[in-house]
Amino acid sequence: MRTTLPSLRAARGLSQASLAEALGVSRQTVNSIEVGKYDPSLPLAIRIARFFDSTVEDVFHLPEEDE
Amino acid sequence: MLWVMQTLTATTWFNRITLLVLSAGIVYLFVLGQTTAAVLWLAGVLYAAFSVVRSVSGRARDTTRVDAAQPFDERDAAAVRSGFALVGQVAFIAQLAIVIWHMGRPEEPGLLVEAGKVVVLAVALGVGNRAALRQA
Repeated sequence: MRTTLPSLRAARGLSQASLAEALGVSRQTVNSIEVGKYDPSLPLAIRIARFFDSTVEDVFHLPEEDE
Repeated sequence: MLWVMQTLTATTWFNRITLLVLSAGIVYLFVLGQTTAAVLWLAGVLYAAFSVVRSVSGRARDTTRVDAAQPFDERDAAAVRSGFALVGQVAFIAQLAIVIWHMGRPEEPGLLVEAGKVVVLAVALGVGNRAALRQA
């Protein structure tokens, strides 16, 4: 899964650690989501989208949608 | 005291049972006079308990948390499930091989015990599969 999470996080001036703390997950999990190694569960994806006042579809994309 | 209660509450059922079994085992070894074995297991239990406490606090590395079977979030939990699934697969295949080895040497004792372990693993697999499907 591709994600706009790094740019959203940077726009808010947040570190991976501070975002992780706000979401209740580990910093490694935030990093894995950002680099596309880990696909979050639907509840976590919704929490991430809501944290950035966005939608799941805006934050996460299927790889073929970017081609 | 609150910190201790929070740690105990957050400890996974697997770690609670494992630490309970090992603690009882240490007492058993001490009672039987196997002091060296008891001290070795005590060191192992203390290290495991330390890993669990660090994992619960969230300060440990992800590998430490997963090795301690003490997930902090859903990614850790998925890794713990994958790790235990691999352990189960290896144990099941190895146990099948041991049973076949025993069947080829009927003069060697222990076939029934080893076959019983296969049954236990198969029952655990069946129970685990059904529990997972009911939750899905």
